[in-house]
Amino acid sequence: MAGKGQQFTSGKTLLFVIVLCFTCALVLSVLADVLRQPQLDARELYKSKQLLRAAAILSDENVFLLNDTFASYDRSKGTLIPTPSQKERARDRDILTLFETRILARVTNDTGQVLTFEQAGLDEEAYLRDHAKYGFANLPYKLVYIVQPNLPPNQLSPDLLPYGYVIPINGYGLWDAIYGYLGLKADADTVLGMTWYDQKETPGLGGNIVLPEWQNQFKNKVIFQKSPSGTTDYARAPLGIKVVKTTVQETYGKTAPAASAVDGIAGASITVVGVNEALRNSLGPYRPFLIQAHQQEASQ
Amino acid sequence: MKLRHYYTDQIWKNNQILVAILGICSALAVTIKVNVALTMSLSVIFVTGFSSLFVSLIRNITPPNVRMIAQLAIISLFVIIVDQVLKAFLYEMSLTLSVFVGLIITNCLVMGRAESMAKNVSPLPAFLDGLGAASGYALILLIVGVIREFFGFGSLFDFPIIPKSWYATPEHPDRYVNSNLMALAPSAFFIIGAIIWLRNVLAKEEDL
Repeated sequence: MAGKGQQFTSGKTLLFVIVLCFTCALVLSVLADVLRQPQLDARELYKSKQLLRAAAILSDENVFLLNDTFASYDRSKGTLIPTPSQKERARDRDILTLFETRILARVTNDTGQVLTFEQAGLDEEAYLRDHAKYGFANLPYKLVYIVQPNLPPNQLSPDLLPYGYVIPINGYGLWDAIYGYLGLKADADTVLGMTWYDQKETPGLGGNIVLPEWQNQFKNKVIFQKSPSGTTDYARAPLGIKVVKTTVQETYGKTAPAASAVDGIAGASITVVGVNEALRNSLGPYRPFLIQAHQQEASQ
Repeated sequence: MKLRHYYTDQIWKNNQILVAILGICSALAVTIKVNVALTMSLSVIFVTGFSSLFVSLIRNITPPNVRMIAQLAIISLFVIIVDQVLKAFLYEMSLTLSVFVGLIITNCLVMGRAESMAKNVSPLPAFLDGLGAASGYALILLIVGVIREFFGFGSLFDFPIIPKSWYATPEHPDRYVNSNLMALAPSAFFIIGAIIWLRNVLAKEEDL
């Protein structure tokens, strides 16, 4: 060990510790600065992937989807073409291109009107940055993503009936805030997909909310709870998807609420409560928008 | 002791997981799939190798009463480097590994090598010793990872090995089913236990 017989005075020890800590801190701050941009890009790509997954455009294995069959991206046309037998992983570059062409970020107000950021007088970048933490549902202008149909970019227009919508969901799990996306079909009722892109729940328990096997249950559920007779009262029906204890089959059997419920996760009671509240609280304020979107689809 | 023994000894004969039972908690948590185990293994090899090297480099100027703190600072430095690099270039893998990359700091294996070997020997043997200890750890992680992924998911490196037609369907419920136990942490306990037993049996035969 250090210097046999060598004496370390307190001064020397202190100097050693200061120099060591300073060196480590210097290395780490240089590294953090160099890696900042790649890390932000990686996070953005991941969020885009999760949003496309919620919109059922990307499978959980990163394969493009078109109406539930595998598809690949045609770069010359800018559209997806079905390739049911081929399971080709999507390239990051194509994912980002598709995201930019087909996903439109818009805001909706309390009457359900859909506006661009300019029309609402908002700066998109600042709006997304400032409200990322506490969510968009309770703002006067709420964020909504419009998923455009699978058409070449020059034929896309905001007047077309969209393929679907993606609504940002946020709430609180057991340890920290949870953030996700809920994708809806054009009827603004049937779920295309649900993903969580940011969570710090216990790995293996609450953390299982990120598992595709669990998330896939949300597909084709309805967010407007049906009345016992099987009809939907859009103005008053409770909004959300309920994560039940045990299984849906056991809790509701074949009754109406089963269409708006998914199986629970063992050992993750508090996370599940958080998911239920997140869906309820994030969807509630969107009701005027959802009703308008539903009527738009019904009229076409 | 020959220089290369610093490396080779640790792979099997003095394997840190099998003999010292160190580094168990991450071996249980991150061996569910082979690619996760591989990423973790490479991270630990990098951290242990370089922290041993640097602990050895400053061994003559390290005051004995702050040596543990100094070792910990060096280990943390390399762990944070790994963590930041993963977040930048393997983002989804870093989410899967979640807290376990950060927990390499408290992996007894890393500090064990720094305290019992690196601070007493010159840099090159210390570096080889660190790499060797972590390679032995990696070997066990990969064995456990292969077993768990093959029997738990029927795949290796996320590539399906067991053909889909072998699996049970509602029409043919008596066909092959993946073992759910293998997807859970306790299975790693049993597998590591079995490997420890195997090593002990083999070691006894060598003694005779």
